[in-house]
Amino acid sequence: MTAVLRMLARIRSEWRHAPGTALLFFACVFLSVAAFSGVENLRMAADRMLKQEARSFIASDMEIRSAFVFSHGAMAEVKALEESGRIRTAFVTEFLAMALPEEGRTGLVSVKAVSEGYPFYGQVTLASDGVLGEILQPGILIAEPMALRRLGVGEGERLQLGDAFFTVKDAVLSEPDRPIDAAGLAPRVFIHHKDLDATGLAVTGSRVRHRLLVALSEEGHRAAVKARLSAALMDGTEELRTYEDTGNRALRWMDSLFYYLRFCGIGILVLAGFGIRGSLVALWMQREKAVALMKTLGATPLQVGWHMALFLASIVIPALLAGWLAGWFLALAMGSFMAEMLPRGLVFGFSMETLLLTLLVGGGFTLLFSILPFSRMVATPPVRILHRGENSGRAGRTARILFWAGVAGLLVLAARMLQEAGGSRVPVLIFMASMAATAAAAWLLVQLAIRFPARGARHRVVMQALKRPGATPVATVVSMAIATGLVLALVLMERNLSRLFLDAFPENTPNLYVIDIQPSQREAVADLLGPEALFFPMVRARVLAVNERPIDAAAERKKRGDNLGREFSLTWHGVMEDEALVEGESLFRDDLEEAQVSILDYIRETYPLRVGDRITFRIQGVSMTAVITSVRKRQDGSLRPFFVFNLREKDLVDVPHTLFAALSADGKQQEILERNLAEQFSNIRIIDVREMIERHADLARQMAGLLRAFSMLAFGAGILVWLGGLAATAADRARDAVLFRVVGADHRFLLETGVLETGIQGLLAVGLGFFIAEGLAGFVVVKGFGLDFNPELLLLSGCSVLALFVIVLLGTGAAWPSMGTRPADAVRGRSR
Amino acid sequence: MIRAQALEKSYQVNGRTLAVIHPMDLYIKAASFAAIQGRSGSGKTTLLTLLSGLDRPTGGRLVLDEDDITDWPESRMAAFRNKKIGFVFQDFHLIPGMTALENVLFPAELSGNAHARERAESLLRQVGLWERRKHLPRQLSGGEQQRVAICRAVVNRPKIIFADEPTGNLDSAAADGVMQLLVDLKEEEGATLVVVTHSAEVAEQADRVITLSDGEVAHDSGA
Repeated sequence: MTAVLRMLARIRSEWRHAPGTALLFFACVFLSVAAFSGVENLRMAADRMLKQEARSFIASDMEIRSAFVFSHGAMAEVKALEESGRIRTAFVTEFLAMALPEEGRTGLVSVKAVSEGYPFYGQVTLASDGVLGEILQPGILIAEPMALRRLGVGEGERLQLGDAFFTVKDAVLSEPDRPIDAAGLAPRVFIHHKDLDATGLAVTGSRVRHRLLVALSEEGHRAAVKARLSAALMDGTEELRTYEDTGNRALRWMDSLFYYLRFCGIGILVLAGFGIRGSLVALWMQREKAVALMKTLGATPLQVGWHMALFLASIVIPALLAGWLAGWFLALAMGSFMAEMLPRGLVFGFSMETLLLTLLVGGGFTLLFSILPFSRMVATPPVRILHRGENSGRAGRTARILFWAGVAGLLVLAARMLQEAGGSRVPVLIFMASMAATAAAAWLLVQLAIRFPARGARHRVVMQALKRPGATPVATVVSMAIATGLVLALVLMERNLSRLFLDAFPENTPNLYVIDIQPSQREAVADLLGPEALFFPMVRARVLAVNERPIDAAAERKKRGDNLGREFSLTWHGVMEDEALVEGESLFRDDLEEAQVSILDYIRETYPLRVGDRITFRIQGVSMTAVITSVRKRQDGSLRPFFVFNLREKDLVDVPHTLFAALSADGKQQEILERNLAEQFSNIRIIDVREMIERHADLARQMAGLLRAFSMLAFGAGILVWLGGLAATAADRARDAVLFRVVGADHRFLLETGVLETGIQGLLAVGLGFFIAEGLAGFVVVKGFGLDFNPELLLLSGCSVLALFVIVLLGTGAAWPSMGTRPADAVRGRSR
Repeated sequence: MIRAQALEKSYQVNGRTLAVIHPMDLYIKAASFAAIQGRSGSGKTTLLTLLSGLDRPTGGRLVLDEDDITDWPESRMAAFRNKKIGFVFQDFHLIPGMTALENVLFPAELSGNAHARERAESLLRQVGLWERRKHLPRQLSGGEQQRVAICRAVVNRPKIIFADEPTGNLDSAAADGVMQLLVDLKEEEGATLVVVTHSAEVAEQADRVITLSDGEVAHDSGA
């Protein structure tokens, strides 16, 4: 008991001697852990839900998907399995349609026709808390509240879909197999599967997704059922999916999201690590004499180490726990802020796994960045009690080996965590290489600045301040450069995306896409749309093989970006005005008799296609092979419609096809057009691209807001690094400031030198940050979004100047108190 | 010249007023050498900080070289200190990150002296430290550091030099050398020299010895 009290008294005494630095150390650990814990808590909540409810994402154990009515073979096998009692089934048919209210505005809705039994897993939540199966009877329509708002209809009113009329009843709040709001193109409406034929919308050739949901009566039948169904499906048209498929859109989206969030979290950990080191160096310098005194009085390095370790533990443990808790609240805030981007109904419960991971990673980083200053603290020789000044103490060899081993270990751990989050190694390597390059550039620039011959008193003072023991100009410049670079990169990205997507939606760019026009309807539709409308034929097809090598659709769909596993729309048209040929002299060759196809160049990023290769398409059950004769490139950022595969008219003209029209219309004109089209042609759907882009832009803004919050945390970490450096040199600064004043320097001189010192470091940091921002934003905009990148040099220069101003203000402000010691105290050998 | 009229300094401690320097009149004529002596706690150093303008008196007036500096703002005092006052401390107080030459140069550069470098170099030659001009303070002995500090104190040709126990940290040989240098430079520049000291040897060299006791002048050989 006495020993514990004595230990607590020692810890209290240490806190009393260096409260500011101890708090700084606490803040660094807290910040790093809070950011990391925030991401992990959110990820864990999403992961728990996605894993526990995985079957609900397809509302079944497995499903058969097809763009066409299911084949006889597949249905026969399903029927046999059903009769044997091994499975139960339900039909789901999804398509887009124009909903026509009696009053109100026509609008695009995403129709989901479901039969009894749906969903086998998960739950459809209705506003009335009722059960879907009981309320959704033939003739009833249940819509998402957003759909009702847009269409201007309420419960009890009538709504027309195709040729059928429905009475609106209840509102659907969530559905298990569409867990994320952001995934939808249009608001959802549910109808009974028995009403499907009456709408006349799901006819052959229509853009429909048929799903046959399969629920197993016993888990043990899984492999056998899967094998029998797979064998019965029609190749290239029907596909069997199970809930374990990683191709699940929700899972992939979450993977991408958490990949970038983890990236930010680990970046902040590293930045705060520099702050941890800086504040510990400060602590060491403040307590150096006390440690030397302890040793002079006979304390062994072990006793000193134990004493200081207890003190540090009294800071680190509460900081880790507080950081974890703050991260939990941060996750809650992020969950609410990003509601549209995350699965509905996330539960942020206590997670021992997250707590342990946070303590392990946060504690690991703290230990790593503490090990060298701690070792030097313990190694302080007793002679330091006589000399205050430059500390030549060097960390022991064991500490240095442990440090570098730790660095290697944490790099591997960080890479693994990012890997787990679904990212490839390339961005991780680029990130690490950028950090190393930034550190090398910062070191070089600081060395150049320090070695620059001093001219005049101000310059001399600044030079010696940068070289002062405990000063961390390189760490400060690196951390501030990265933090500033992140903030500026976001400004640039937002600006570029906003310019390309929103602000500069060019005049007369088609904003309405009219799809599923039957060839027989072309003339009548053209009359309605006017002469400006552009018509394109469309043939729905899948890629079966390239040069007779079959395409693995499931593997393809796991690729990031586009892939050859999806359904494509083939067309025939000349070179469009926003396209140019990059390979081949013309779209097609006259000297070839076989079918020919021109491809868009971007698809080659996902699959190596070359001129001369032969692509086999499956078009409504029939195979067709075409040779690639040219490659086209689209103008970056163009919002006009495009087709990956463009064939000759004579190769497709006999294939069943629909037409697609694009035109520009706004406001009342658009409203009238939509109503006229919906009234006259129930099969036709109209997609408002601008509205869709704005919806995505909203999501992008939410995402940008989140990243901005993380950038500000990074900026905070950078500031903490700076404060750590200032705290480490505070005593020396105070002493020097007094000496300068004794020999005649006034406050203005001190202020000028302070501004100059922070200004030099700030300038280097902002300069490097500028290049980081340009590189990062350019990479994301060009590689991630495939758009032209405008470096916005003027804007970024302005933002950089502003960042420099903030850095100088904060840096000088933080350093200023140490300059306030009275000159008279110098004579007495004391300072504040 | 230094003229103090009813100069006093007191502190508030736990609600009570503690007088460190009782109201004191003092006149030290130009180009003279005054030594201030007294036991520890007698107020020697406090008087030095008041006379040099490093600290503010709580009462009285102070005139240095014909200027009444009592109410001057800090910025004006800083410029005055730079041009007219030189300081030498027991602990040398050289700026650790600057070389010997840079330390001497510093006050001259602050005042924008066009011949700062020649003057600083000449002083270092004069005190025998030319070869050590590029050395940092920690690379110099105590005596050498104090000689650099004296060069720094006189580089701007001050009217008054204040020294607080300038030989307190030196052995007797080094102390003799430093004191001789201080007196020589004072003579050379025609400056007033005020030294706080415990040393009888140092006091013996002074024109006048002022002895303090409990914040009051107990004895003044020049009175």
